[in-house]
Amino acid sequence: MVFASLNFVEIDVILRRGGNINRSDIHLYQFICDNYDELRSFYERFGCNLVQHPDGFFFLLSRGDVLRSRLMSKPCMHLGMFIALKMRDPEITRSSGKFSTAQLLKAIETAVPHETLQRVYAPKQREASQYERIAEEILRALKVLEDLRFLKVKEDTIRPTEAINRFAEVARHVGDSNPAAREALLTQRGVTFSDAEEDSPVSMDMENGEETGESQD
Amino acid sequence: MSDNQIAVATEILTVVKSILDERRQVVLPTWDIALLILIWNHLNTEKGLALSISEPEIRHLAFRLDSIEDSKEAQSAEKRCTEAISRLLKSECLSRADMNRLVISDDSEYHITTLGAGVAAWNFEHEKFSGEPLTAILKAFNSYLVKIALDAEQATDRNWHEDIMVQMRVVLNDMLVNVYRHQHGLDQQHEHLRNFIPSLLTEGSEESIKYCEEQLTNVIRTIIDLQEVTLASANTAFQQIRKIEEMGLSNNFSETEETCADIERKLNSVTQWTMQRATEWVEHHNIVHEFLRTVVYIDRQRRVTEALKHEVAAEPQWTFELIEEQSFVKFRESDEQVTTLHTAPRRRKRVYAHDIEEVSIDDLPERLTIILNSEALGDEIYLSRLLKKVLDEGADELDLVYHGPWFMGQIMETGVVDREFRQWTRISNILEIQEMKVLKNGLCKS
Repeated sequence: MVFASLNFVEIDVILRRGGNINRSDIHLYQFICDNYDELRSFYERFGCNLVQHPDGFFFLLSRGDVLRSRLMSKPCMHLGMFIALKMRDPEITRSSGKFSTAQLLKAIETAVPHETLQRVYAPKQREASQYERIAEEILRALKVLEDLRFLKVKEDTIRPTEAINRFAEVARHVGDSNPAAREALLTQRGVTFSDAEEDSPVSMDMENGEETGESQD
Repeated sequence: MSDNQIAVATEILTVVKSILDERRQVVLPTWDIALLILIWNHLNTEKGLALSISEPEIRHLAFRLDSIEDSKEAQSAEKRCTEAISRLLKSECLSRADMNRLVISDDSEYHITTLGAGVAAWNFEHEKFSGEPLTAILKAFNSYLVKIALDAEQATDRNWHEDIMVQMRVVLNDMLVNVYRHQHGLDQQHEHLRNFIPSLLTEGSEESIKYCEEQLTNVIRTIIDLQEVTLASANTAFQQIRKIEEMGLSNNFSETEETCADIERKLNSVTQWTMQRATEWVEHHNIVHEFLRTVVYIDRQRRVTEALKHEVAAEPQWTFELIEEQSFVKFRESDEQVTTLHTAPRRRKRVYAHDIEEVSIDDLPERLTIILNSEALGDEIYLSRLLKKVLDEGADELDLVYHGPWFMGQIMETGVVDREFRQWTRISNILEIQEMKVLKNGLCKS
């Protein structure tokens, strides 16, 4: 029985916490591929879609109110996009797609305007302690992205998974004024836009509650 | 020695002597070798496999060489080409294919000699990423080991050391050193390739991508072949080494165990190198292919990259909505519960001892009343006298000041205040009062 398997336990925990199942998690990936129809109908009863991205990885999208959902914070979003951008630099092949935390901090400091870093990672910080706070927030966001399986971190070496392409794909289409494209992003990719956040009950919960792995300023 | 062998040996000595007498040498600068390789490649790739190459064609190849080297001086390029052709002729890597021997002109034609072809081919092979030299060495290693194992079967105590152990230690070790050297060479070549690939990907043209894919395929083919050969060779080698070791140990021949263990250890490092490189090179191969797939082929216009650059430069205006739920009850057969001992909370120590300050009952009003009543028996009451009396009894000056207004009111009730009598009178070191004289008309109220 599918649901009595330990593999199901593992993937269920990951998916219900907003994580992605990548091809590198070969036994879990294979399990989902082998039992996709059964798992999809299972999660449909919870008002969720088990989505397989064109790049192969799986994630869960909420369609209803049965399972609670949350919005990813700005630091996590920005860092995810930056890492997705870094993976599109041919130089990344030199190190077989890996880089260190120090390299990431240096790259983000060089490539992103300081004002943007301050607004995203340390919006309420005084100038004197901004840099330290920005670095702390980046590391915190890195941990969240790791928990959500957008990347793997082993002994200070970061290796993004294919799920990082979610950020790249949305960035490509987010400026598209076509309503159908926007609707597709909302329904099939789990994207929420800033203008929709103020009306959304999820974002109101975010203002009152605490986000996992994040700190409140 | 047979007659044939003698003839061969004599011929070789004759050749050697003539080389020494004629002081023959092959000195080829870098540019000349590069030109020779281009000539060799041109002759091999021409339709019908041309036998000769003309002077203008050589100059055209030289021009290509200058563009690779990024040389901009046209005049020196002409001169350099002419000098290179002369040197190649002199070192007999090229020879004239036309009738002219002294003059180099546009009509001149050349063909490449076996020496020139050998030099070009060797350089070409040397640059190719290939495990063939390593494969060849490993095969030779095994062949030699098999020969030693056969010799070991017939060896005695007297010749065990010379024929078996020395050969293992010296010859096999040399072969293994050769293997390490080739492995190191392959590592360097792969490192060079790893550093070169980003430039091919950046250029992004069809040719560069195709060349990149060819190089990657070459690397993977090499490592797969090397893995097969190394594992097969290592298996055979270990069997032979164990055979030799058993023979040596059973006959109590010295040095057997250490020598065999040493060779085995070195062979293990060879196989481990192969396995480690397989992981690393395949990983690199996968990353480059992933890049080709997601960036080069799908995003030819680099729109996704530009969009990401734009998004990263500003605050994110969108986000992902993620599921956040706790997991199901786990379907497990046993779930061990670990009990934790709850320790009592430690509270901060409070000090319950109080400092008690004794405050004496204020009896000054009573004393003042008694003194007033005793003075009231006379005709006149002087405030200063009453206050001096109570001060002499030990009253505190500040308490006296505190009760002063009330006392003055008590005195005034005993009679009429003499308004003319108001001089200042000192009653103590710190107290000076304006005198109050009351002409009494009876006892005051307490």
